[in-house]
Amino acid sequence: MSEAPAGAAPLLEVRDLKVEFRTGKRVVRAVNGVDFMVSAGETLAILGESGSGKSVSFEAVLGILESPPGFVTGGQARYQGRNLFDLPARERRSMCGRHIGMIFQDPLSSLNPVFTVGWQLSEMVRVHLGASKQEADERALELLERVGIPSVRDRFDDFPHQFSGGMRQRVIIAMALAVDPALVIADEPTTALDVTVEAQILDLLKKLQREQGLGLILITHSMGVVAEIADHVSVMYAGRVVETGTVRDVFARPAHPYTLGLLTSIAHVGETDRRLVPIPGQPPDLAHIPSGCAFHPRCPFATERCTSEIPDLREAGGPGRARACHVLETVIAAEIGG
Amino acid sequence: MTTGTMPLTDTAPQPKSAWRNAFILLLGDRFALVSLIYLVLLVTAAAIVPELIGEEGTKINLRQRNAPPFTLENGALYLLGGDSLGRPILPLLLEGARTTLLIAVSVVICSMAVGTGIGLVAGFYQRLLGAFIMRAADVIMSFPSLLMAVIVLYVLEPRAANVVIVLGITRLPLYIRVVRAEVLEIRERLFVESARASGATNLRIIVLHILPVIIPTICTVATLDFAGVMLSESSLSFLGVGVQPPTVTWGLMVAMGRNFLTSAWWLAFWPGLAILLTALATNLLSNWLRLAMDPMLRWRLEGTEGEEEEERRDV
Repeated sequence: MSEAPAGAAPLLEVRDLKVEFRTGKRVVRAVNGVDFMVSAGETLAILGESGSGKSVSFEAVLGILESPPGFVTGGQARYQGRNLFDLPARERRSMCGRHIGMIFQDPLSSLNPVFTVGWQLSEMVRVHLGASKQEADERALELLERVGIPSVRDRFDDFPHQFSGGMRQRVIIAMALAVDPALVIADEPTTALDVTVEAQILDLLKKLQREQGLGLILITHSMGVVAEIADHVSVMYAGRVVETGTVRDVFARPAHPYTLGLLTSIAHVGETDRRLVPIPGQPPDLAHIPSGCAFHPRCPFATERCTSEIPDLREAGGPGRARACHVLETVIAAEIGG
Repeated sequence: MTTGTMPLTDTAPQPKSAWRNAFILLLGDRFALVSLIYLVLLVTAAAIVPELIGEEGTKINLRQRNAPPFTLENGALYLLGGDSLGRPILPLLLEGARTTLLIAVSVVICSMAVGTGIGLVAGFYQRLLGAFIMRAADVIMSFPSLLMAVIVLYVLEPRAANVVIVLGITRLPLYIRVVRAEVLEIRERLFVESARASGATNLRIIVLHILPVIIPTICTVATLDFAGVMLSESSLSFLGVGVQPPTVTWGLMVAMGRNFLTSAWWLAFWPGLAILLTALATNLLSNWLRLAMDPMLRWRLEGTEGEEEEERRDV
């Protein structure tokens, strides 16, 4: 379980979240008891492969999960102390809309192609803050300026297709910030962008977060992004959190074989003589999650116990540090040895 | 163009009115311009001319039966000849345009409004309700529309209002299917999910986020369909179950001229030509409309002025 800085009350706290997809007789358990916690001014990264349940978790929390087929089958999501799952769907959505900003992955399709960028931004302000047209336009301009769109007054009446990918993502960030949210959830915000633009967008997010003391949750599959921007990281595998801790700790001393595998499978500049070690095998089919630890078929350290008993996420290796592995000691030994 | 009232145009170019914009876009497509001029002239003439000449236009005058066209001997009204009852064809055409166009416009507007509404629902609520709507649409579609119209109008009184209702219903599936298909695609896009994430209700998502994206498509389909409706109405009149004399429609005029095709071709030719030209004009206009209403295709019509603006902006 990730731990908030001392004294700060958690902004969003998710406990034991379970999400299933039911199609006909098939049941796909996408999220199997996930815990998260994020406080104001803190950045939490959710790291995992595609299909590990990262996005689904937050769709469930925000109430935008397509249902059916998706169902929340257990758990709590407390936003500033209120359990979101206790609210009726409509109320939850409007509450989330008012307090939580969402940034989606693909800037190409996140904006409505038939409205000007300024109109969309200003509409958001009008609806949620009840501002007049004029006030909303002023605020929209200010937002666009804040996310670094050049010559905003000229661009205000441009359509989304007249912007580049990076600029569009800036507009989307502006939209997420339009309602002065306390928490922003960014679902792979830089996946569709090239590296230089990615760095700019991450910088922008970091800057805005610091300025406004936002809680930021960053869903990503990129170790680089995590290292660049996050304070804490939770690593997800097959719908569970397998390891969590501060970014520095997790990257320096990975305590789960999956995290270790992720770290050894990326290239570092200057390490020309080191071979990349891929994680063998495939991510599991969520309709048939392996018994015991879901990672055991791909784990080089797996023991008999791993195939039958699901490891709990237990605190280990310092405050705010937790991992779900039976063979932790072996891993650490292996790491020190190699 | 919302910029007119806002204080943010100080560095922007002169705010242009929507009309001026449309005019510039129209200049980009000569065919559309000519079509629009033709349609405007037709509508104006149909609205004004019969009022001006009054009785003269529809009076039966047996001495002028099947009077030949292109001669001023019988007066200017008989420039296009006279019909089998000796009525002058030129004013009769304009008289017929009133009924024909009125019916076509009513049918298109009714079926567009209703069909779009149903299509939005069918696309958005895919499950039971959507399935039910689509099967109902299939039933209407699987029945030849002209046959249905003939049967219904044979049973009901063949009045203009009934013609509108019958043709409107047979046109519904077109809009339902097109709109539903568009909704199915658009509802999956991220801006819809993003609207949902920011707390929008279903109604708001449908009306404010999905509908505006498909309006250009609907308008294009509607203008295209306008020609089709006009032809269907003419077919019904031609078959004798549509609008009844003494009301005149173009289709009716063609039908009445059919018996004289070998001896007096102009009886059927002029109304036929009017149908053809009007159908052509609406088709060309719909082509233009498709480009003009899509922000991503609009530049094709903007010509040099648009380019200058782009250049200025880039500097």
